Amino acid sequence: MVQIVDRIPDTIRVAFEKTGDLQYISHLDLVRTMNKILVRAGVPLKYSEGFNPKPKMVFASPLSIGVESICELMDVKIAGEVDLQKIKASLERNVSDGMKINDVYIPSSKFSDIKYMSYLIELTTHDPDRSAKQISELFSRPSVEVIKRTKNGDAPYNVKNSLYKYTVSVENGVIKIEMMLFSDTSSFLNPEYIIKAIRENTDALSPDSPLTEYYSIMRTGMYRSDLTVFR
Amino acid sequence: MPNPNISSVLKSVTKPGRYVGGEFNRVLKDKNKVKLRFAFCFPDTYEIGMSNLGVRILYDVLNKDPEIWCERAYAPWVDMKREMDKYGLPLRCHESGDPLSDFDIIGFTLQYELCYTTALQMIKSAGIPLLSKDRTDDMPIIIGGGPCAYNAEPLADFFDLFSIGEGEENLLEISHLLIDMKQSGKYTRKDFLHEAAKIEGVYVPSLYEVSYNDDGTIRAYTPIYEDIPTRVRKRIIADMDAAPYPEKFVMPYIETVHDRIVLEVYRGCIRGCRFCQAGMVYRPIREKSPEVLCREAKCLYENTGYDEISLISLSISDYSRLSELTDSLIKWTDDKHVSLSLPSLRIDSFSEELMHKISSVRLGGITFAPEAGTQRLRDVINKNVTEDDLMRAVGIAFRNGKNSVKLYFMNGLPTETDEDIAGIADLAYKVVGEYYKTPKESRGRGVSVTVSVSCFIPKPFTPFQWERQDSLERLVEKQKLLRDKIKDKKITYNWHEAKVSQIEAVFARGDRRLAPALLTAVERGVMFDAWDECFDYDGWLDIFKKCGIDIGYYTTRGFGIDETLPWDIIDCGVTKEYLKRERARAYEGVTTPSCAEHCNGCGANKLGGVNKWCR
Ligand code: SF4
Repeated sequence: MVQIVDRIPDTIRVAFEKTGDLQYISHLDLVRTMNKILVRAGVPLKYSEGFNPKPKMVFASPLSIGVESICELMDVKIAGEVDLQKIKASLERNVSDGMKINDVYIPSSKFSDIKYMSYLIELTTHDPDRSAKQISELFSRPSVEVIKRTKNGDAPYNVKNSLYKYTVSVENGVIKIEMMLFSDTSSFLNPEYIIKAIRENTDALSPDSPLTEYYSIMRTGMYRSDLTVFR
Repeated sequence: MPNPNISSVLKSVTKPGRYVGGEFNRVLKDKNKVKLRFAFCFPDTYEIGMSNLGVRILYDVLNKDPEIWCERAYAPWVDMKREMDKYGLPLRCHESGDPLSDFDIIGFTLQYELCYTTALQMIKSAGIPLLSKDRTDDMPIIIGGGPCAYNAEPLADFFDLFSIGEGEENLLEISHLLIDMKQSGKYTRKDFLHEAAKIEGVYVPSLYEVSYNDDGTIRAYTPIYEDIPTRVRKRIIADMDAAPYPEKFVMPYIETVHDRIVLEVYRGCIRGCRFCQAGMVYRPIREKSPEVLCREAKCLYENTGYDEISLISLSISDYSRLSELTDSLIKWTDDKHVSLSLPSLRIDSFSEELMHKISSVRLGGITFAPEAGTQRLRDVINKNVTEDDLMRAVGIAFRNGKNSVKLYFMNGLPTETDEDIAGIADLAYKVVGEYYKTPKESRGRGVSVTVSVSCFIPKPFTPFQWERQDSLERLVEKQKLLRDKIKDKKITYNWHEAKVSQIEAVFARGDRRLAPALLTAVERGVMFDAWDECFDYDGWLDIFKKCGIDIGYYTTRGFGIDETLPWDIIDCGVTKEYLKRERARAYEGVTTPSCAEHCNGCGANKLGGVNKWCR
């Protein structure tokens, strides 16, 4: 019998959170920040060839400014053997508020298998019960159009095309919208457009009172086509 | 009262990451356990402020003191400022999120004159009265430092005190005096300022009365107490190897201007370019040893994860142990994919060896600063660089595949004629010619030469401090003259807006009588003057007119050689006699050798300091 030896992994996957004030950091800035965190943590990085070698990192799905997440995934190419527990511990020592390292493991899946993403929107507004009703009514319509920015310019878009399912509730005066969006490239939607639809069609979130009316968007999960959690 | 939720505001402004803090390596302390809270303010955007080495050093020095907690604040960009004004949101520090008014000391680093209005807007945003005399005992002490503090007279009415020279020791002394006085219960603003004025390097403008002659020039500065110095001598750190240096840098999340490790290789300058303020006020030269620098670099690399190390100084090639330093750095940096960069390379030090050794020299753009177009004028300004030096340097660059070169010049230098202007164009053409002399097989494809020309500003504490600035019309005329001389498509000509240089000159050479203009500007919402999109020349002319200020007095007039200058109250080490001597040599077109060749007796030696050159 020939024993099958696992080949030495060349990639590690880091599961992390990006919350709080880190929502204001762009994806590009996150990439630069991650680069330095990995160096500080002493991860044996594999660099690209060429004049200006860079570590090789791939993210499951870039976050827009203003969106928090408790379920981010990043793949990093490594050069040499690694102790996953040690890497996790040293990454933890090298992150600041708003970032949390949840797991470090050898990936056995491809990011392209992600089919849905779930989000939690929390809205603080002057009349939550009334606004919640308006929001439920809004999303029960067959079409909810917003102007969406695309590569080919601004165009109307029916956000319902990206919305797989949702629930709206009010808890302690805060409106909670839990929703699942399709995440394939053709129907991927920045959840900020959901807010836009709410702003344009309900009383919630008047731009005149930004200190008393506000919202947060949290990415809460990534799923496969059979709705199991993507890992 | 908890801080309001400003997430909606942050989501509506550009680059909200500027305002949130939370950076790795920032220092957090318990505000109830420290004795003094220091707000270190940078009067420009976060991206610029985070790149400043002085802030990084002083933040580290202050926070190493267990009794002090130093935090940072930056100027909110125009859109954020508008929101803050609209909703009454005060300016807050990054670490604790507390408003500036909660602090014991607010310190500003004044890096360029055109940040003055921004600094004042920050004080206003904190809800603190702008004028020092209107502030009460329960309000923060506002101090200024940095290069502009050498002539901060236009800000004299607004700031409580200035820290002159290098601040590492000085700021701690000021802070501890305040701690002691507050603890003993004897603190009053008035007594504190009186005591502080006795600390070497502290200038308390309100304790000096200025009198004027009939013609408007300054007669004298008179201290109002007998026990404070009649001239304030700048502070220096004597031994750079023993000086504290940060082991870690606060890591910005968003991209900043200089987002890398910086090593301060030495302070001061052995050259004596006659227009250069930094070259005079940072004397005497004090070097760090390669051993110390390597240790600092290693430590910073481990604590930051940066992939670039920049060696900082006024003229890096003048460092007496440069190859020793780069050799020992390269031993480990190449393996770690860390690149070295050497800004401020002199033309005469550019070599084949450096090009091969230093990746930034190999990969980056090539920039030289001949400053003037003819040898005559280069001798006047004591640049000590020849045309041959330049041709040799660009020749090396071209032979090694480089095809673009950037050249820096200055317009409006003393004694400048049209011939000197034409000389700039000639030099640019000769550089292009040098490219074509390079064998085809070793040169890169297509040559481009960029000529960048700024306007001369006669800065305090330089041999040219008495000179007149060219009028706006004359400067524009000179710019046009040069534009007409450059016809070749391979040469790009950029020039600095003369209007900006004129306003800059007013404040660089200004005195206390400019205060009303600054007050009016702040009332009108002026800030970020150093930004093209914010600079409003006509607005400034209107302000000066309204305040009865003749800007010609500060710019085109030139100052009398025996006149009392607004900055005479400060002793920067270099003596007035030396500056006069250098001025005379300039007019004779005679150069002065560098300190490495022999000591020219500038006077900075009296400040002490560990160095090889001063006699
Ligand atoms: S004292 Fe002499 S060596 Fe020292 S800085 Fe002045 S001129 Fe140079």
